[in-house]
Amino acid sequence: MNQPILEADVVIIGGGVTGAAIARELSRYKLFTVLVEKGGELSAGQTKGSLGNIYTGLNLVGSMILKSVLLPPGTPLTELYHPHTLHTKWCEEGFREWESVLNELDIKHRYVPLTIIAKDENQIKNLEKIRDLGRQLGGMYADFEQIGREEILTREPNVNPEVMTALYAPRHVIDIFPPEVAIALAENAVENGCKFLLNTEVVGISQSGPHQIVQTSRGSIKTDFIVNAACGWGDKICDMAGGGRNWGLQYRKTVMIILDTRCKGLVNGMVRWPNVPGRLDLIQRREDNILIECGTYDPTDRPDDTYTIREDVIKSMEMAKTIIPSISEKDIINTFTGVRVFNTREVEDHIVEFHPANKKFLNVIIRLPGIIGALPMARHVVGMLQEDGCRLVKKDDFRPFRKAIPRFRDLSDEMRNRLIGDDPRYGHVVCRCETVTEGQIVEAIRRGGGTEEGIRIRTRAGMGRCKGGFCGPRVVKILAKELNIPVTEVKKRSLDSPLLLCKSKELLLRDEKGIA
Amino acid sequence: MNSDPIDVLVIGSGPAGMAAAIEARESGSDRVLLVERAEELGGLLSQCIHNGFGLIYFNEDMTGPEYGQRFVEKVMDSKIEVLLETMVLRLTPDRKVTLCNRNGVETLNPKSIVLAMGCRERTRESIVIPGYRPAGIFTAGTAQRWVNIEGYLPGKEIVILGSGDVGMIMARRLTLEGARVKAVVEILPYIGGLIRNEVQCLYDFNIPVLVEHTVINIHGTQRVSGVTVARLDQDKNPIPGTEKFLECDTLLLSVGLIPENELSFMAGVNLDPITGGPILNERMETNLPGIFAAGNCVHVNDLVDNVTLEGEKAGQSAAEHASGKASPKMGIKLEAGENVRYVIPQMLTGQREVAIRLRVKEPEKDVILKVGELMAKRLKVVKPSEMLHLVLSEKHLKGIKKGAVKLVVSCQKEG
Repeated sequence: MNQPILEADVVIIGGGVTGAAIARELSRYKLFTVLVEKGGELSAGQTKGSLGNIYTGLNLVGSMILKSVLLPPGTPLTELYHPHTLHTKWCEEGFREWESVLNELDIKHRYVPLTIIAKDENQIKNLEKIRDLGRQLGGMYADFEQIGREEILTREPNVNPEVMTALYAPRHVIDIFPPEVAIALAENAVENGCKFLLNTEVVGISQSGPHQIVQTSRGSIKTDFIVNAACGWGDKICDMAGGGRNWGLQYRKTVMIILDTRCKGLVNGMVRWPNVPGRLDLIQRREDNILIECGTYDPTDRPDDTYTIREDVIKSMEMAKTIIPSISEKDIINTFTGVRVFNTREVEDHIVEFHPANKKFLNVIIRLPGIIGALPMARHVVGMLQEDGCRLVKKDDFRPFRKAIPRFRDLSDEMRNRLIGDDPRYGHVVCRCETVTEGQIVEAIRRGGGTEEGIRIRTRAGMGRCKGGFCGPRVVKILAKELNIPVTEVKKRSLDSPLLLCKSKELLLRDEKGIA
Repeated sequence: MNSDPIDVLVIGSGPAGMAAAIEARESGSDRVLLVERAEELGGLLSQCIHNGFGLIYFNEDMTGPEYGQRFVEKVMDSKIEVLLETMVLRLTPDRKVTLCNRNGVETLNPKSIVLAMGCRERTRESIVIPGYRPAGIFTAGTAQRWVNIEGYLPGKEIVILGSGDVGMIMARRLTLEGARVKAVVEILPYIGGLIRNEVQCLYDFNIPVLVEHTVINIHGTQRVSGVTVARLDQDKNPIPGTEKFLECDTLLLSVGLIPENELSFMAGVNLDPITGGPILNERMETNLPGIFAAGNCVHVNDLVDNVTLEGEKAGQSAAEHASGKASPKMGIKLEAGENVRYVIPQMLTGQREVAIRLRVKEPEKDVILKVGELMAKRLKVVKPSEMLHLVLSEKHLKGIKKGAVKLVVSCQKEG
């Protein structure tokens, strides 16, 4: 057996929001935690493709009501509420808790209103069910009002003028960018002593006396505990630790569309039709863009089936136009597909339990929504590890704060000048669409963004309408310079995604040699 | 720095911007400031190392860098102030321009502004090609920068979607570099760019061309491993059974250019939904007094020579405005009629000679090009890829009826 490259107390497998949140929670204690991620960047799997809002109340009721068709007649709607599931508990706790953590970690976020609109009899019936269940549950679930056509059009002036009524909740959605959440949690965990390994795929798990060995594509890691936060790949990782798994995973994919910042005035928050089984139809402001998710949750057999189907985009745009008629295909700047993961055993809940054959291996198989409950989830996981014998001693010097890379675009001119005065690279705008400066890119590289995608999700460079047409070559050159690697070694994301294949003239010289 | 007010500020130092700045100086403006976001003057000319530039303007066949250099030298000689690696962050309707560079952020208020931001390329995302998002998908212009400026090849086995000029030029360029261009795939029944490029870049190098085809699938999750192409029916839908897999490591896109007008939009310049650029009168002036525009941010030109001419016009008008001449009213609308996609300028004051540029919608033979009842011109062949030019002299303009509000420009089949 090869010598382990690292010896850890806990190894977390998976660098999405779930893994990063657990890592940060563990970093409060005197433990050495290593997180391994097979992708070339954090949040490379389900997190990246998630709709990624932190939401509460009305949206949660909307999801509950989906099952109402299955209720025998006369059953009270409150039967749809399952207060004791981890899923419900964490959603309820999580929303309240995020505010302070978003501030601690300097994560860009904004509370936006949720408007569930209805225009025909069926939709109104659905809407009334949501309303009634919300009011019966009370508290945060009832924190909305029903408004009429005129008021809808005052609050969301571009909505389909055929709307009749709506439920309106002014602060039920926190707009965030999911990869930023994972990265912020990770950066803070690293600052507090965790180690993150990218491009590190787990290939096997074995026992070695009292310890476990996690074999990876980059060497083995000796550890006491393993946390499986691999989401869509969680079943395979689980099986590496032994047999006896009594759950499986199901994958559903859905397409999402991003519209140009030019359209940002079209909606103020999230606007959607009432839930119907098998699809979600919503348009929302995502930072300064518009995000459309009007997809059907089509089954797929792979967690990485992010293949975008053209017909899905066309159908989604048609559905989106029933919400906001003035949107246009001309304004599409990106389309992408996310894969949602469900387990086959607890249809409405997460699976958080030790492996039946390996008591020091904890499965954390989270269903959506994952980000809302991530903070209570992480505490729960750490508590389970403690009960399992993991010795937790609080660090005196835990630092909860993380500073974001300066968001040049959002700053006042005065603040910008201060930044440029300290480091002139902040005055050199590299990405014109998103106004991202060289200073930000260099800082993103310093923090571990080693690929084109790593820069993109950390700074937004290349995320705008020209998709890196102008900044692409410049970003790659900055990466090569700062990392001190040849340009041909710069990757899009994973190790097998090189951007440039060779130098000019290289192919010609090779031919000449061939002839000689 | 000089504290005198700036007469003319030009945004973008490509062929339009350089010509505007030079002409503004020659028309008497004292302080002309040329602002460029890139590392050097010239815009995209420096990466266009092929020939075919200057045939009209200099009556010489030059490369892009040679053509650009003539203007760069003139800019240097004519006491034009230049700011490189400087981005315009904001533009207001009353001509407040906020600039940003390594020295800081600063807001200026010039008397006139010329918008010369050029255009950008349409992306894979904006035309919604299905598939994963592997490395190896480039717009043709970005690939051109990689090869010609940076010295790297985006790939070795290449398929090009779209037969715009940049795409065809890159097909030849990459072939000369030793890469294999497996096909140029075009949705339309004909090549999108200039005839000379079709002949000199594709036919002369035996590059396979698939017209009425498109890419229906991109293979590969991390790096492109191939594309599936298919023939299209009359409604541009793929015909089942015609799918063909082409192995490649790179897909280049040459699927159209979009005038860059985010600043114009921000300032409140009225934009033409067809061209995507500002609505102008014959002085190249927008609806905002003192804000002018020229070149590919107005409409995507076929030849750089025409861009230069537009820039000169805008520079001259900007200088006039800076010297205190009032802006004439936009009086008469020039409207696109039969088989005309767009007309530049869209408005006439009716007071002075005007050079009209237009593009047709469909290729056609033996046509009559008409501007209202003012003039008619017979043409043997018209193609969407080649701009048409007309000059309405002051004599022609005298024919405009009193009270007329529009003139229709049409391109009718003769007989």
